[in-house]
Parts: sequence; C-alpha cells; structure tokens
Amino acid sequence: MRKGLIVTAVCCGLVLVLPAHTVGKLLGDSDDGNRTTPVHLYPLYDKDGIMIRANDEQPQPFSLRQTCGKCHTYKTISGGWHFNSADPNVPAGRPGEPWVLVDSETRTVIPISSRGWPGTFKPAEVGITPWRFLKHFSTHMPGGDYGEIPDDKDMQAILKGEVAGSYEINCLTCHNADRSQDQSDAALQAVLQNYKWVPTGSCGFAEVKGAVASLSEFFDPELDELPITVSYDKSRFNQANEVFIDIVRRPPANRCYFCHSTQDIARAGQLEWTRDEDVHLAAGLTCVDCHRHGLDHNITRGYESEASDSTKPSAATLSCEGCHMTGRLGAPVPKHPGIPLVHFEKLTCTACHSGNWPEEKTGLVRTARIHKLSLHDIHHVDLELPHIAAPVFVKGQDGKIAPHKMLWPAFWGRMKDKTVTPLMPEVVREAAVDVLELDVESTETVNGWMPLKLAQITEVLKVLKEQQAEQGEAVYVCGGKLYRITEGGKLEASEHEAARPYSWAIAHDVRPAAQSLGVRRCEDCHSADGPLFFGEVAVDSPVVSERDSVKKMVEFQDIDAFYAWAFAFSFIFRPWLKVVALGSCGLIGVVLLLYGLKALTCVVKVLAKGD
Amino acid sequence: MFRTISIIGFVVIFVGIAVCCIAFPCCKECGWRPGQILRRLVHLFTLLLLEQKLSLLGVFKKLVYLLALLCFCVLAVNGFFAAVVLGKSVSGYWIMLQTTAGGVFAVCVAILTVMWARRHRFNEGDWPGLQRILERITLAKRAGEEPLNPVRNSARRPKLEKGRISNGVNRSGRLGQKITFWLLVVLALPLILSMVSSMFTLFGTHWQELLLEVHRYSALLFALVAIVHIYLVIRVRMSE
Repeated sequence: MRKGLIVTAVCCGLVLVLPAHTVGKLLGDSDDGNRTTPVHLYPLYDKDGIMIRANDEQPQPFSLRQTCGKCHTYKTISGGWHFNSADPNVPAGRPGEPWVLVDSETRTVIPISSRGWPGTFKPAEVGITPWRFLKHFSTHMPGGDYGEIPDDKDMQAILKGEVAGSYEINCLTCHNADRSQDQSDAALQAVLQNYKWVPTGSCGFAEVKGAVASLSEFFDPELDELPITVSYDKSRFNQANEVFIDIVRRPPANRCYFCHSTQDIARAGQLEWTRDEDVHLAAGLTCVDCHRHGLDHNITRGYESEASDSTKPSAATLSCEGCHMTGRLGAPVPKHPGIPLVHFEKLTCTACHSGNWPEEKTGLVRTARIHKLSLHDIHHVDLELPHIAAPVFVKGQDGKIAPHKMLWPAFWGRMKDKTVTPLMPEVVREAAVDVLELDVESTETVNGWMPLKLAQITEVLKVLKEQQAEQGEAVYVCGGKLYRITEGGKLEASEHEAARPYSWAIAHDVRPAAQSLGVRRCEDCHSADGPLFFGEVAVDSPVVSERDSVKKMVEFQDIDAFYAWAFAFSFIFRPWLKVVALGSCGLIGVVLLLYGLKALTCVVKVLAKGD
Repeated sequence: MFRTISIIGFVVIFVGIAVCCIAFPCCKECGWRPGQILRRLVHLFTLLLLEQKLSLLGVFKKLVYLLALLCFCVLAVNGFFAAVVLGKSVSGYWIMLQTTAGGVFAVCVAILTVMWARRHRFNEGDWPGLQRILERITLAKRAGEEPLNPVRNSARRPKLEKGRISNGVNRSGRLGQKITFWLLVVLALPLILSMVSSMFTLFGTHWQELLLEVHRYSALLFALVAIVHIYLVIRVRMSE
C-alpha cells in the first residue's frame, strides 16, 4: 500500500516535471542534432503579429520580434552580449570599445558605455536618454538594448517615439547571408529615425520611403497620413505569402565587419588593399568559429582572462591558449623558441601577434562604430575625430601588457567631490557660443580639431561657473589634463582620473608567427628605442599649446621608465654575456675532462696492480 | 615544491654545520666564551684580507676568489629570497643584478677551476678518507671490523687525540674541500648552461621550462655545496 503510494507520487511528479522542462521552448530554441541549417521560408509578420501579404495595399514593415519570434524565444536572445549593455546585472568583463560622443565645435569627445568600464560614462550620467542614444549611435547597432527601452523623458521620444517604433533586434544584420542585405541602408533608416523600418529597409527585398525625422512635431499618427511607405519585391513571396530569407547559423565575417572594422589611417584609401587579413580568416575560419554562442547569444569574447569574468565553459577553451596550446581544430601549437617564460606572464598573446607592428610614432586608426564607417550615398560621413591611437601597449586589468586602441577624452564638465560629470555639447554650445566662436565660419583646424586657446577655456569656464554653480565646479578635460579656474581667477591645469586616456584591447588582426614581434631578435622590443616601450603616443588635445605633446608607451605600462631603458640597454651586452658564459663553460669542461682522464688513469693503474 | 625543497635544504645544511661546529670544534681554543667567539670573528674577517706574503698570482687568485664569493652571495640572496621568501621569480632591477653578477660569477668560477684544479686533485693520501666516506654512504662493514670512525674509534685514530685535533680537522676538511670543489665545478656546468642556452633560439617553451627547473635545482645544489665548501675552507684555515 505504502509502496504503491510512493510510486504513484513519483509518477505524478515526473508527469508534472517533464512537461515543465519542455514547455516554453519554441521550434528553433533547441537543436535536434542535425547540422543542416533549416530553410527559412516563412511568412512575415508586422509588429502586431499580422501576416504581411504580397498584395497588401499598404504593406507594413515586418517585425523580427514577431517573425523570428514564432520559432525562437526573443527574450532569451535579447539577453545576448550585443543587446544587453543596458542591463546592470551583466558582468562588464574586459573594457571594450565604447560609443563616443563627439562634437567638434564644443571640442567634446566623451567615451560612453553603460557597462561601467573605467574611463567611460554611462549614458544616464551625461543625460543621454534612450532616444538620444539611438540618435547618436544607432547606425552601427544591431537593434535591441537601448532601442527597446521606452523613453518617457525625452520630448522628441514622446512626440515621435510611437511613430518611429522600437528598434527591435535586427536578426538579419548577422544571420541574413543574402548579399543584398545592406547594413548601410539599415543605418540610413536609423538616421531617419525609422526604427521599426530598419529590418525592412535593409533586407534587400523591400524599399522604404519617408522619414520620421522629417515629420512635424505636431504629427498625429491617428489623424494624419503617415508619409512613410514600404514596397516589397512581390516576386519574393510564394503563393502562401511566404518569403525565403537565406538565414545562416554562422554569420559570415562580412556581416561582423560592418561594425567591427578598423581602418589604418596610414593606409587609408588607395593602400587599403595592402593590408593583410587576420591570419585566422585567411586560413578559412570565420569570426564565429571562436566567438561562439548558443541561443542566449551570450557570445564568447575570447580574451585570455574571460574565464575569470564569465561562467561560460567556452570562455576558457575559446581563447588563444584554448586552441593553440591544445592544437584544437588544427591550430599550430607554438614553439616560441628562445622566448623566456617571463614573457607569457607579462604579455598577452596579442602583444606580439595582433594589430599593426608598433612604430616609433604610434599611428591613428578609425573604427566602424566610432567613425561611422561604411555609410554610403547621402549619409556618408568622413569623420576625423576622435583620434584613436593604435597600437598602444598598455597594462590591462589582468596585469598583462597588451596592444590597445586609445583615445583622449575631452569635455566640459562639473566637478563635485573630485568626481567629474561631463556636460552635453548642447549645454556648452548654448552657454558659450560667442567665446567658442561657434557662430563664425572657420575651416581652420589643428590636429583635426578646431583650435582652442587657453584664454577661451578660461572664458568658457567663467561662463559655466556663473550658471548652475551648485551642480559643481566648472572644469574642462582634455589632453590628459583637467583645467579649472583657481580662486585667484587663473586657469590651472592638473592631472585627474577623468582626464586619463581610455584604452581598449586590440584582438585583431592577428599576425602569424612569422610576422610576430620578436621573430627577428630580442631587440624588436628590447632596444633603447624599442617602440613597445618607447613608442610615442600623441596626446590628443584641441588646445593649441599642447599640440606637440607626446607620451612614451612605458608610461601606460606601470613600469619605471629608467628600468625599461636600462633593461633594454643591457641587451647591447647580451651577446658578450653569452660568449663569456659559454667560454667559461668550455674552460670548466676542458678542466673536468683533463682531470677526469687523469683520474681514469689512476683507476686503471690501481686496477692493473691487482693483476 | 622548489620552495619547500629549498627551505629543507638550507635548514639541513645550516643545522649540520652548527652541529659540526659544536660537536667537532676545529681547534682546542675554539670555545664558546664571548672572548673566543670575538677572536674567531676577527680571525674570520682577516681571512678576507690579502696577505702580504702572497705573490702576484696569489693576490690575483685571492681577488678572484673574493669576487666569486661576493657574486655568489649576491646571486644566492637575490635568487633564493625571491624564490623562497617571496615565492616568485626574480624580476625588475633584481633580474638585471642577477644577470650581471651571473656573468661575472661564471668567469670567476672558470678561472678558479683552472687555478685550483691541481690543488684539489685527489691523491693517495685521500684514499682512506674516501674509503671511510664510501663505507658510511653504503653502510658497508668489513667482516669482523668496526667501521673506520675517526672520532669514535680512538684506537684507530691515534693522531686525533686531544691536543692534535687540528691535524684531523685539516685532513678531513681538506678532503671535504676537494670533494665539494669538484662538485661545484660539475654543478657549475648545468647552472651556467641552463641559463645561457635559454637565451638562444634553440629551445621552445617546454624546454625553456625544463631549463628553468634545471637552473633552479642546480643553483640550489650549488648553493648548498658552496656553503659547505666555504665552511670547510674556514674550518681548515682556522685550525691552521
């Protein structure tokens, strides 16, 4: 009787538990083990879940939350690394590339990231609402994140947000292998504030006309006719109004490049073709071979210390060491002949193998996200600011020296209790339009900046001091210095945490062993002018008097400059040391041999006596 | 592991030397009264000085020896302090000091080997002593005989009676010096070669690790043997 009850209870439990495990999983959430990518021939749905037909009179833009969400749990995907920056519960990990708010007129360069990386400012800290965030940065976003956070503070968002729609995750950005998928068009739709039209406008089989940005502020979506139209290529619809989209599990590198490209200024334009591709891509791998993830889209970033920041098992195995120390996927196991072990304690793999070969004067690069590269036609921009130096060898959070990209923040701000909060460019522009000569048309630039004189800084700070002084002392940060007005009314420049350059590690392009640092000789780095320690990094500043300011890389490595020099200098004597030590060993060896033979003679004599 | 072995090695050697000092004083006057200790320390210090009777070659030998001694102290303290006390590798300015002192030390060891090899060669007079050491090591006993023990077996060591201790000390000490000298010469080879060869582009990471281990353990052995050698040198010199 009792046994029967227990068995019944267990069976009931199983019945309740087993469905719970499978309930909530959609068709595409799990993998049946077949490696074939399913053919994605399906109907498109608009944001209200209504199917879009080829013969609709007023076709609506399709919503990927609705369309892809039929088979894939959108909520799970939206927690992925590309879409979760606004989530404060996500571990920040190693500092990465920030968004950069640039305004050349007010001489502003503010690194922005909601991940809380040291040296960046969270959007809310500088007064960037989700709507403004999209306005500044949405051209190179894959949607989601700030694109789906309701904004009830920004007047523009209140007026136009409903029409613009939410900027949902654009799955096609990565997963549409069709060559007609045009991210430049996606960026254009984002610039036009046509957020809900972004996937439609870029998919390659639809055309969007009109712009939310150009709508009157008094536009009423319920009363006025929306002047934004969509027209689909009807030939792409089958009789069941299904559309084939060439969805792939593993996006090609070309998709990643739209947001993750770096342009070497020294080879910009005509010489771009001379650049070597990342050795992994040249060998036939793609980005996602290493940067993998599951349904959660929590991508493996692949840096060496990721395992300590993440619970993902792949974090330890999908790194340089993860493959190259084990020979995974045929990765060559490095021999590193003649390289003392201390190098592996003090340097990351990328120090010798990634980015451009360091030079006496560090070069400049532009990145796709910060400089909005690959925008074509009418919205093409050619941004010079911010200046990003690379490769700069900096000691990272893990205590290892690695090549970094580096930019110098520049902004007007308020300082309270030694904490500096940047002011938005609009605030400064309004307050100091005359002092900064913003109403005078001028093309003069110094180092790519509109020149700024110390007298102008003083004047602007005085103006800002008079306004809302309770918010803190007015300061200006640029070129590694913090400028403030002393009690005596004089301009004072000092070092400050907020003025320190922001840097983030370079991972690509990876160079093969034959092109790595140190392959020729130790003096690639260990010489009195070796660029790894003594390469010059220009201190980027709009201030005219600071235009020639430079810093040596060793200053970013937490190493005593004299020690670095003395150690490098000692390599002049290294060959002598080798000769002397080998000579000594030779001499000792000869003596040992000589006396060893003599000893042998004695032994032979003693043994001979026995006979 | 290396840290533990190093600590044990140094403790054993220093305790052994202390026991030896107390149990087998090198001379009759070597007591433990403050005056005697002070006298010994002064004597010890005078050993570092250059004697007037030395020839030019003798002065050179002594200078090389003293330089080697200085380098040894620098290398041992620098290297083992980092490895044993701090538990990490030598780095920063200390590695530069280590490299510089290491180069000088290698030269000094080579010169001393050449100059002292003849003096430290074994001869027939060392045979009984070597035999005793071998017997102790192998615990072998001759049939019907007690093992030769210069201290316990007074019947077999007429020359080691009270008042003539110094002769015994000299003989065993000199034998010990010879053994430790040749041990040092032999150990110097892996010690120097392990570091120098790692500077060439011959050995990959695995071999670099192995070479580092060879260097560490040969340095440990070298240091322990060198301490014994220096102790025996002092002991013999003080007993003279």
